[in-house]
Amino acid sequence: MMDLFSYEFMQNALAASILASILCGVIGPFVVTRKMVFAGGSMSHSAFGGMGIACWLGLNPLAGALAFTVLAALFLSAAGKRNTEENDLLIGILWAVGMALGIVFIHITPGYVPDLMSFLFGNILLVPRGDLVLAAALTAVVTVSVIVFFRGFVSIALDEEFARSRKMPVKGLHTGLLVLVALAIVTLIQVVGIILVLALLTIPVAVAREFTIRFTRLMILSSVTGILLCIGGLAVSFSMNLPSGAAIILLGALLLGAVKAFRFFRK
Amino acid sequence: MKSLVRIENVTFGYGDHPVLEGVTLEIMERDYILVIGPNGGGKTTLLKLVLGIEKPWSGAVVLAEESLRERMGYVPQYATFNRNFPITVFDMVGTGLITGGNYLSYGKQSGRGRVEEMLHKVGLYEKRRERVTDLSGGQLQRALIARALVADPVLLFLDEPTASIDITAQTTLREFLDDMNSRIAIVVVTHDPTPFARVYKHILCVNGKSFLHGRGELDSHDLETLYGCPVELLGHGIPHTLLREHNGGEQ
Repeated sequence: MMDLFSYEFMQNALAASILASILCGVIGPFVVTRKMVFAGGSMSHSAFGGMGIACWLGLNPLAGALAFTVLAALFLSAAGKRNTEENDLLIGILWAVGMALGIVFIHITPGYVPDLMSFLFGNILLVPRGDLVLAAALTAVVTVSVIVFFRGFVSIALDEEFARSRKMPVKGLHTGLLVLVALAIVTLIQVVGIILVLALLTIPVAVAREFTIRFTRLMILSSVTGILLCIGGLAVSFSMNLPSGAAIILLGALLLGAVKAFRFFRK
Repeated sequence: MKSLVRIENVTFGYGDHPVLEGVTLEIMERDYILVIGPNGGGKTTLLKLVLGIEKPWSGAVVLAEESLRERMGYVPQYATFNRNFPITVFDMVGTGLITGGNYLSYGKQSGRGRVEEMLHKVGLYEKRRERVTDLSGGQLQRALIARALVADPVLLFLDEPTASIDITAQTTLREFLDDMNSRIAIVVVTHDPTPFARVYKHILCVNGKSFLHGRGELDSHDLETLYGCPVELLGHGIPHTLLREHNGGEQ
């Protein structure tokens, strides 16, 4: 197994796994506790539109994904009032329009058509070094921002109304959090693809919260779970010749099922 | 007694629909106001305006001094609180010390003593390491009050504090608030004034407009027929002086 890591693609895959796992822990708990899972899904699917346009323009698809997810985050913040029917509509529309745009632009892109499947479901074994540098930079930005604004993010995730009464800049913090989720999504897309991003933002948190009652520990445990899943999924993918993104997610679902079953029978 | 907050002819609504029109109110030091009225009448909206969560369309909310802004405690409706949030009782109460002015620099240790004092006060010190999810309804309500009090407010707003808690917990809450009222002003939004019948000083009836009554101006019949409040203990028998305005001209 260790010999595997002498290959550059495996080293890159390992590095991408670690970066993704850090983000699982840093941003995932906020996505779950602030009930932003479907807003995250919408942003990740809108990334496909950006990837399609970037392909059509001959640019790096990841740059397109970055631009579109951030724009989607700003749009959701500006146009939608949280927990309203209108916001739900926006999430659904953004989700579908992003996908449609991606399909159209990839369809009209002349010459070489990039592998749609690796956009949608990710391929951690094909992460190039350049994209890894971008992922590392995004992970650093997200992590440092969460550390700096930690109290603010926790306050609005716990009780937005109370935070408003304490004169917290709730709107600014919410927008900031959405943008950080967008940046995290761009990194996670490389590992599990657009469609499976949601699972990586939620499964590690769902597993971790079975073991802790504190938010900071939830973040650390989610990261550790993410590392286990990414590296475990990588090994399963390599040894059984399965798509890596799907292997990671299914391993996560199995782990969550096992933890829940353990809890249930221990009661 | 000194005035803390003056609400001057305030109008506010959502979208194009006004919820409150021309509301005027003065909250004094150590006041104890019950805010009653039908659903959608603007009770919670009024609290949000005083707290600065919403800005009036017209009129003004004037504080006696700007420092009061950070000395107003708020206990939102129990049902809106995210009970599944992974946080201990101690840490949750501690979030009451975080404000828009200090959230970037706030250190967990800075208000430790104050949080412990509040937990003792509401009788939850032994529960401080437990998860908020594991508290009973009455305990959670007390924890939310501790969070509101930890920053040492001079004015405490509670939105439906007796909803979802049993009679014993209601009595404990009322006694606690009664004790606090010797130091701070209290404003309670409630559908059921009964638990506070012995202690309130004013009743504010809110239904688009607002009407402030001194203790004893309303009897239980007025409250039941006009506001649908299930009142058993407010039998003061003093004629209701503002029925004409409440009832659109009928008395």
